[in-house]
Amino acid sequence: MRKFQIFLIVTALSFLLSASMKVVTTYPYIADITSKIGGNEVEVFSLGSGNWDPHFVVPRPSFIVKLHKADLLIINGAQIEIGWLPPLISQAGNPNIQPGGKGFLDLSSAVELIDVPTSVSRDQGDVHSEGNPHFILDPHNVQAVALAITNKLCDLDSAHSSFYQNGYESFTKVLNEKLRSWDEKLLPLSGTKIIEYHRLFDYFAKRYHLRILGTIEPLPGIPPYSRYIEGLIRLVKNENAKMIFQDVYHSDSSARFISQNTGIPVITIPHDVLSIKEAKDIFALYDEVVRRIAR
Amino acid sequence: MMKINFFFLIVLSFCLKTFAETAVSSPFSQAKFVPDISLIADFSLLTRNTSDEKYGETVVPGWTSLIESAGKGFNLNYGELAISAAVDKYFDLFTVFHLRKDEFEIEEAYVKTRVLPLGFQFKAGKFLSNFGRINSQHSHFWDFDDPPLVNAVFFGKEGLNEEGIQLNWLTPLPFYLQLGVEALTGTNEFSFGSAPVADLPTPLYPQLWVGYAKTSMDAGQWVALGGLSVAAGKTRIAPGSDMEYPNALAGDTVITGVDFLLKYLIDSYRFLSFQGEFISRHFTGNESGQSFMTSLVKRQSGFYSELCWKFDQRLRISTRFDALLKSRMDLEGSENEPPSNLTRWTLACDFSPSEFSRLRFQYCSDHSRFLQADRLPVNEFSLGLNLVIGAHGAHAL
Repeated sequence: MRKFQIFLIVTALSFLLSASMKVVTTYPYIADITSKIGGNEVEVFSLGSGNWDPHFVVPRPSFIVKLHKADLLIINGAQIEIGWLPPLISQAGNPNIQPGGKGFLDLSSAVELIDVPTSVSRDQGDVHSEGNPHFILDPHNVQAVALAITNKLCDLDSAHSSFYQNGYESFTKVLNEKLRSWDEKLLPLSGTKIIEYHRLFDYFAKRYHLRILGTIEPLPGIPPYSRYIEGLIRLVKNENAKMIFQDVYHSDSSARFISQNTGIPVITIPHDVLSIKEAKDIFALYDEVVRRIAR
Repeated sequence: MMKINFFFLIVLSFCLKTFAETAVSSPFSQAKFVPDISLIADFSLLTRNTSDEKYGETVVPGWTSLIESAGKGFNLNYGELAISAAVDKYFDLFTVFHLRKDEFEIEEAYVKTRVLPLGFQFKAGKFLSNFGRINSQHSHFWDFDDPPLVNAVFFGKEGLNEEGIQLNWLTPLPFYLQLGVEALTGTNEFSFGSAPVADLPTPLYPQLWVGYAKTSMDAGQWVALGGLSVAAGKTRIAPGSDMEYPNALAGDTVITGVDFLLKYLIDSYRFLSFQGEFISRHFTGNESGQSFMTSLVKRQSGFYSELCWKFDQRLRISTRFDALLKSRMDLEGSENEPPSNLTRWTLACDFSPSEFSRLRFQYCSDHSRFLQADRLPVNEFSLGLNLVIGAHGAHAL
């Protein structure tokens, strides 16, 4: 009993002493940008892991504990977390991090979303009614995301706001240099026709003027069937598509089948930090995307 | 007559015009405050090796005769209408309406706090108790069409679902530990009940108390959950409500449960999970008929364990073993052991064309049913279809 009391006191003290802000993010890319801006002033934890489907994070009870203690929750938004995050927030009993709370940030509100449907029905598959949520695949959206995070950190912890501002400036400096080199390497690909598995690389394609002819999944969330794939093979041949963009978490068997029948390469593209071992941070992520595409 | 109709048309067109005009500016429109509304429908085609009449007369000896089951042929099992939204900054309101062909029932309607400090959450209304693991889940989330046998005999097919209050505390420890207490009316007719029995005083409400502790650990691709639960309350069961017990029962019942879930996540879409609950019940009190009253002690327990393998984004296979273990009764000091070895085995294969529809084939081999003194082995096949439309909330693990 005595030991337990000591344990409780130590735990309570350790909470008081760790003054850094506890930030929980839904995906590793958000965690990486936040820790680059916040440095030692933030303690960041990502719920989702980079190599799994961002739509299907398994809601573990340990996440409830993280959310309960969080000062700030940063989500990607545009409904990508709708299938797993709401019950965790509801069970965490932390009013600050509920949507609309002062410790809640939805990054999708910082960028312009594309493919916003004018009408939604589930006969179109598992559509996102607010638009395509995969905006982070356009590296030019990173700045707006970083700014939104910086502003939120400054709001919550105004004592360190100059620290966060400095973090933001050194982050954007590196980012802008990187953007120049990525743009240089990717712009020659302008006009290239591609197909992709899921509507994951649309922001990327829009930025670099790649033309997406179709997706391997017939509808969002619905796996392909053979007659549909045959149609896609005809499309690739007729339209002279050049590449197949495959993500890391879906099976690439359909992509390889199309590749074998058309001779165009399958390129596995990382979609998040830590989705593959080379994508160690947000810069390495796009370095690797560019390296794989602009060969 | 014509004149009146003409006049009516003018009035109507005037009304429509006014309505159209207001619709344009609509300064008081509340259309965007529509709560989350979803409807679940569950259908099945069922066949079993015995007639509905015969099946309806079976009992689980020493336990109950009240467990309802779908008949042979096509069944509309239920509709479930769920409506929920934040009431204001302080409360969330959840309501679930259970619909059957000729019945509209409020399955759950409760308010939950949003802003209590220190990890506390308070719930009030009618809700599924947090006792054990499966009890608080809605049936469409289960891996099988029926609840486990042990849950069905202790709480009925609809589970421990009562009016009352719940206080839940997420402890500030570095790992997940949730503690809770519930004060409930205690009308569950399988274990508690509120019927007037003989000259015994009607219990003071709330008369059913539930306490639980739930914890979880995870490492890499493994997630483990465990829980302990206790439900204690007064029992008042009216004579004749259960064929197995033609006499009235009055006394005290304590039900304890242990539950666990072990889940191995293979990737985003695939997992392997092993889950089980062991529940036991202890009743002390009296059995009374028209002209007698004898003391009765019942000690009963049972468990289920299930293994589920989701091997594809759209396919899963689950198997469950149910057993009612011990049923000992001391009637006026004379011991009585009803038949043991009451078991059931179920296999389910699910195909989900999308996140919102599910086809389920289920086979069940039931050795828990008796017709008079003889065991009636029941084999059951069913093909079910479960559909969700609208804004349906995600499920916890």
